[in-house]
Amino acid sequence: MSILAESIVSVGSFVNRQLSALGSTIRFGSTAAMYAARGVINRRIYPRHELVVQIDYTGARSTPIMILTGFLVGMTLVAQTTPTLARYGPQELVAGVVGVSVLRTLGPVLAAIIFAGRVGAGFTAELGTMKVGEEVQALDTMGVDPIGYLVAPRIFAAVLMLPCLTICFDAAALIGGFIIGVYNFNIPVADYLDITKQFVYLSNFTFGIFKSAVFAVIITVVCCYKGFSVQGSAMEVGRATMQAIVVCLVSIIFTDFVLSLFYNILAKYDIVQ
Amino acid sequence: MAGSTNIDLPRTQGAGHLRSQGPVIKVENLSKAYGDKIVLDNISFELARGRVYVIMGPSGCGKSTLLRMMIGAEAADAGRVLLDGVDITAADKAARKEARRKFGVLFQSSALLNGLTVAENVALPIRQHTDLLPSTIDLMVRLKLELVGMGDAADKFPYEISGGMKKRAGLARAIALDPAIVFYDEPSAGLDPVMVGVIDKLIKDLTNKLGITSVVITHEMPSIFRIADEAVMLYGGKLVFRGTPQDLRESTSPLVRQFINGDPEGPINAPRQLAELSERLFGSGRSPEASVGANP
Repeated sequence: MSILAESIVSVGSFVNRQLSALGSTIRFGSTAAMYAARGVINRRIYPRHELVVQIDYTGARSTPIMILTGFLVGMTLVAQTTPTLARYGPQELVAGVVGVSVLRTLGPVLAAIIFAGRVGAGFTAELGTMKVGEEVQALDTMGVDPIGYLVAPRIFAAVLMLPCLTICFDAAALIGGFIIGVYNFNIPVADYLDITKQFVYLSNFTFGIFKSAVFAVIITVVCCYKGFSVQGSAMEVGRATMQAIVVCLVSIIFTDFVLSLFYNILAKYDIVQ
Repeated sequence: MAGSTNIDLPRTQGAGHLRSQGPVIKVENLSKAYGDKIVLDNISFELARGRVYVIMGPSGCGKSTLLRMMIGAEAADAGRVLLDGVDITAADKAARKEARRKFGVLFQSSALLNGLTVAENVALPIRQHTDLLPSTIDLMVRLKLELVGMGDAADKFPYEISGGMKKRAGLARAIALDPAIVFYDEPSAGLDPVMVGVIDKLIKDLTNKLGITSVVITHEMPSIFRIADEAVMLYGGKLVFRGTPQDLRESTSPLVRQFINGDPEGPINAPRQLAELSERLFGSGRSPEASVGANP
């Protein structure tokens, strides 16, 4: 076979594998989402305490790192943007730039990336270890659906908590930016707040929160799927965790791009501002 | 600990409610291959109720694959497994779930959920399959834990207990729903000889007192002679022996003799595997001994 033919075959085989994996992930996610919804009524699918544990793990325990990173991001953004803006116009405009960029994109995307690293990686490692330790098979043997019992509460908790964490991140970033703008660049408080009000619309915030809920589904489904696909040794757990994070990062940024285009279309027809 | 297994229990049929009077498990012409490697080749046998069956054979002979197929966790390429008359290899989800009430499994690693206490682990299948009140479930859990001598460890987490205790807790969970059949996957793996004896006694006691059919996958010869009513040996994907421990002792089959005596030389192809390994590691024409002994 010629080199060209071999290349075409290997590219085709790669695309086929990726599409097959995508299909399996979507099927896995749909099943988990169905169980998450049914579990609200049917307590046998997953116990309530499991949901509480996951809300605590994904939400409460992630709050400090979200606030800290949000605060640092807001301060850095203002510190780097203000001198550049000052060369071309009033430096007070930084309040608007930071407000819009944090609420529309930076907040949801960075919060999702931190969430993927902290919570998503934990999901893959935990479920992968359970798979290696035959716990997943044991659940199945007991007539307990492992996707319903293990994945559904994680999806539920993530969809509930990542938007809340994004709000924390946004608020911390805006406060951090405000502090640097006012105390380091001597922007008057009234001007800073006024510019922020002029630039930032409620739809910037609500669309950002909607995006974070979408990211929560992507992160949880990808990470849990990768955890469930672990076979064999503990080494495989590490490999699956690394793969899950890579897929999550690319998916978050790609989805953010698609949703930004979607937002622009909505803005064009005056559905959002 | 071991003494706690002497609780005088009434013989029960178990919640498995066996429908048929015939064999509990019937394996018919079962075959399985992974790619070119044939793991099970047209295996057939029947297991009667209330007895301890040991499935043995060298590593990689298909024991665990056979177990996974018997519990409906893996599909067969050909043939079927009838569990109380129900073909578990072809059953739909509902039928499989119903069939799973009839058996419990003790996994090699015990497979207790680390996020739950021992008692919660044992309660899990009861909560899943019954509408009993929490107080009744609690009572059942305590009974099962007492039965395996784990009454004092009910509130401990799996990571707080030893390997032997994990096995016993796993066994309590396997019998939580009073199954008709219990499968044991390498129950003595990683345990000290005394604990192996405790587990063996538990298997025997549960079989005798609860009328359970026990299917034990192992290659621990002392255990086999202690607990088996009948032993089945697999080799090369085929069933090469079936008989009582006495038959096993008296067998003249070179395969069986090599296996029970643990001889490195014989028809079981460990020497060939060693030769292949040696060739891969050191190249052709050099034995590992020669390489180890050779000066650089």
